[in-house]
Amino acid sequence: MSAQAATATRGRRILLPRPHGPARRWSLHAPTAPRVVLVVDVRRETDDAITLVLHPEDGRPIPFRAGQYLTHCFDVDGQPQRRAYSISSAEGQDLACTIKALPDGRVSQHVLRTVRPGTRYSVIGPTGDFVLPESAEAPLVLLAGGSGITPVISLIETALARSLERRLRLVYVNRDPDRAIFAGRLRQLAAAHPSLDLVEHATARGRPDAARLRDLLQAPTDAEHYLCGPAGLMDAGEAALRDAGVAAARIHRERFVPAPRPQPRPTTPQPILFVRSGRSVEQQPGESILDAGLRAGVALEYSCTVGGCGHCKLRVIDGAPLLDEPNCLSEAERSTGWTLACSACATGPLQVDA
Amino acid sequence: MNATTTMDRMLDGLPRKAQNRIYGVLDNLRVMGSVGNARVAASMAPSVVRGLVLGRAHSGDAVPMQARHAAHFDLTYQNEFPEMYDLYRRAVAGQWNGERDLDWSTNVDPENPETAVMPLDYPPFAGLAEKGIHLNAKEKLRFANDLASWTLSQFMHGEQGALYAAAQVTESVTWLDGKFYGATQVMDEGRHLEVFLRYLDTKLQKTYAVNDNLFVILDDLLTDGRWDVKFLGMQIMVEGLALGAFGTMYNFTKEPLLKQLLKYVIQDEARHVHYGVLALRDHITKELSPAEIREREDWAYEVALLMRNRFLSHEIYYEWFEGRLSLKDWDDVVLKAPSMAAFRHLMFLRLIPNLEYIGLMSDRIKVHYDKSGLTSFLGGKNATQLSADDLLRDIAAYKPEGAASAS
Repeated sequence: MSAQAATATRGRRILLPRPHGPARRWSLHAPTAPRVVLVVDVRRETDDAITLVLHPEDGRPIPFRAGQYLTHCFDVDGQPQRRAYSISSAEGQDLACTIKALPDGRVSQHVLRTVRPGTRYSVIGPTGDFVLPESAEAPLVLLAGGSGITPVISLIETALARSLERRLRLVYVNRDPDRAIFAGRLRQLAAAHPSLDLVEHATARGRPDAARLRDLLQAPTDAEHYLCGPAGLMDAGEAALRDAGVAAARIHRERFVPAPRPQPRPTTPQPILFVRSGRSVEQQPGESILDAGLRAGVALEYSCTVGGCGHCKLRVIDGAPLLDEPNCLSEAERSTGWTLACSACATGPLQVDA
Repeated sequence: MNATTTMDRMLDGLPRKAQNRIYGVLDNLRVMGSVGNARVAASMAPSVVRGLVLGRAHSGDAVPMQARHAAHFDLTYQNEFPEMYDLYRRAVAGQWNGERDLDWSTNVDPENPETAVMPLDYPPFAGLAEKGIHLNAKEKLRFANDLASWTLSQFMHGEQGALYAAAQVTESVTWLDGKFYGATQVMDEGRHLEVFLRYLDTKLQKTYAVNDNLFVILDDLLTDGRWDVKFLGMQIMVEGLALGAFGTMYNFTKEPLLKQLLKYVIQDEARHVHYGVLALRDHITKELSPAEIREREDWAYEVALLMRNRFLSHEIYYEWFEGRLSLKDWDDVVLKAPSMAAFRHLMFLRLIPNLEYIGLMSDRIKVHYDKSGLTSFLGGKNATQLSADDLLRDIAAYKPEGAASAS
């Protein structure tokens, strides 16, 4: 007898219902073991953007929250490469991630060229706190630019699935709105949901500054505000919102870190002392501090592994690690001795607080 | 083979569903009728009706359980129990973190025999075969995994009950040191509920409803107004049951995350039983009348039998075999299974010496335990003489007869 058929028998419940899979509380802390996924569909969104629909190979769902991202682990010309790409499907739907190929993007171009239905690779995560508030009532105001729409569409579709009354306003900034990612899908959503206001802004008319964005966003102070896109657009959006009297706690920015530029790493082993754990480790050529620590059994927290989330942040006690750029560390964090274990390596004897 | 009874002959020929219905009703009546002490029967009756007759555990989103105890608010802070305070300090020092200390990234693959959650020597396949039920290899694997989900689901429901009972007991006890300790146990039970729920939700992804008989015990405990009955029920009986059940699972499972999770939980449970034993020995030997002691002896005996005889995985029966096997035959298979024998052994190994130590094992009640074959455990080590390591060693040392050949 199938599990579904056996959920209730003789009018009595046998199995507890789990219509949405595992509870969302567990995914607040990112799972860090890679999971193999099978690409079951590749959807062409624009000339240079595709959506990969993914099924976990072991058949067990990967629980995620709208707005989160996965770290995708590809093999590019024999080299392991990791990139963070946002989940673009709504909670409860099939897992899907949308990837925009950059003209010089080694990994994104590889994905566009080679990934097909049937391709297998690993993902880590999901990760990220760019997620909906617990309350299903607060209005949402969202500002997306370019491929910043990928987590935003997941937020919108999830919010609409939870409540048809909730007010949503999306300002979507693109060079050409007709050729923007999800342009058609968003227009259909807006047509079907009167509670969603879609404002499409073409940068051909000029990049919107803070004053223009304040007009476009029409930000009510009781709304939750989500910004995702190029740093300049998010800065202008944040300035507009603050100017309109929106509290900082109601403004959510996605950390939008471009792929790190490769740097030459040491070609000889380097000693690292994890002071709190009392473990001394020889970092091997090519390894990060995180790789070396995990290999030696040091309990290190990490998540995205590409310098984008800050979970692996640790303080340097002595030594000068080489840190891949760009990454999510702030100037204040750098100046007070923090580094990212996933994106830094020792270049000489190093002591860290872990 | 069992002797055919008049009832068997009456049921024979009826449709299977009707057979099961009649058998179930009679079985429930037998439970109520078997309680010899009228006061015990009266105190348990409402819970039996809610659990076994009305089936309250199988519908709706929640069940209100009206607690009838008084919180003991201490005004002078003079009532000391240093041994209990020592236990409290140990509990504070022994707190673990379900998120940090367990490796939730472990890939639990129920189909990998090397790391099976429930290896194939646990389910009663031999007994089922004797009744004409033959499962193929794939079905056996799926059945073993369902049995693991069912067992862990009952652990989880028990932990929810333990959480509320621990909170109620913390309110009721008169020793301030007991309140200190109780607060740590509330935290412990909350954490146990968290880790079992998380394991079921994210690893096995299948959760069963609470078993009717477990529901009866939890409902009875949580609604009884007498703090020492709550204590006896939760700290001695249910914790004893938990040690037997967790110990059996700990012994059988090959899945490393579950093994570590159970190890942490067992270490906490050892402390919980120790606390119950400390509190009740003092109370029973110094403050209760002979009639009150007699009633608690009888109550403990009834609950022990309920625990021994009635955790028979009926939810699994209805999911898998309702149409292929009678409920009575299923009960027979489960009661004779080697894994069930292991569970009973580990449960009573701890329970009987504890009842003896706290003063609930008079010669009068010993006769009843003897008839049930349980007096072989008398004279064993009680909770005050056992460390968590002793417990784990005893659990690991016990190997049920016939388990290896049951697959």
